[in-house]
Amino acid sequence: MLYHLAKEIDARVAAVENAATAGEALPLVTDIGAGLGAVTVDGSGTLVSIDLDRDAMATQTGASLAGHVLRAVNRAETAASRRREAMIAEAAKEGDFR
Amino acid sequence: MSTPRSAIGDLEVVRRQAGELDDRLAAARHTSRSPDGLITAVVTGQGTLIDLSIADRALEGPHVQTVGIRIVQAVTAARDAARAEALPQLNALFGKQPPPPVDGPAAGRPTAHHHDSVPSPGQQSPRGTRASVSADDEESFEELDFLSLDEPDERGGHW
Repeated sequence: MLYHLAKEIDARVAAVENAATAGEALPLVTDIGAGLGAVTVDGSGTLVSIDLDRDAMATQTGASLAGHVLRAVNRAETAASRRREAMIAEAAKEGDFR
Repeated sequence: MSTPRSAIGDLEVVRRQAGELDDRLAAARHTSRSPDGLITAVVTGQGTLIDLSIADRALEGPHVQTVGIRIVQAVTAARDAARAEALPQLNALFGKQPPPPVDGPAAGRPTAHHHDSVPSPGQQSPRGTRASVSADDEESFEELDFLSLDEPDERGGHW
């Protein structure tokens, strides 16, 4: 019985680790808004790239563009973090043996 | 080997210290500029981006297309600075030497049982430190004897 319990625990831990790894590898793209482009972060929430539309940038000041980008980066990083947590929680739930 | 009571006491001390470190990191600020100096990013000691400044001049001229790249450079540099400052503090808190030589010498580390308390509530490690911290968690779990908790006669025994 203890052996099976240990095996089930191992399976659940492996599922959670896989979900964490998958969550980190999956990029997330967030729209900056105002047609300015998009922010891409990796699954762990690290900023990867910022793609800006040249024509839309022409309508912005430095300060307004900075505000848009700052909010988009924080939105993207928060969303990536939440998505990763949700994936881990889901994996833990699926491995529930009770 | 420590008793369960002293181990819990140690755990509480580490948790409190982790909370204090978390507060210090949240209050810290690290500023970095893009190579041309026109874009400035400010992050907390935890790596959270809290301010971004773009000079109007950055939106003029032929290099306007590289604004995105320069923003990323500034943010990354600020986060690198935050991590460089936070890492020694995290290492000190969890009893690690700054330059970890591969991951072998975990055995015999006197504070291995402290590592369960790494993620204090609401604590966010600076980006990039997560891997090393979680690697330690795995090592400490290997050292713990979870099965002994299932034995009814082992109350007050070892962890």
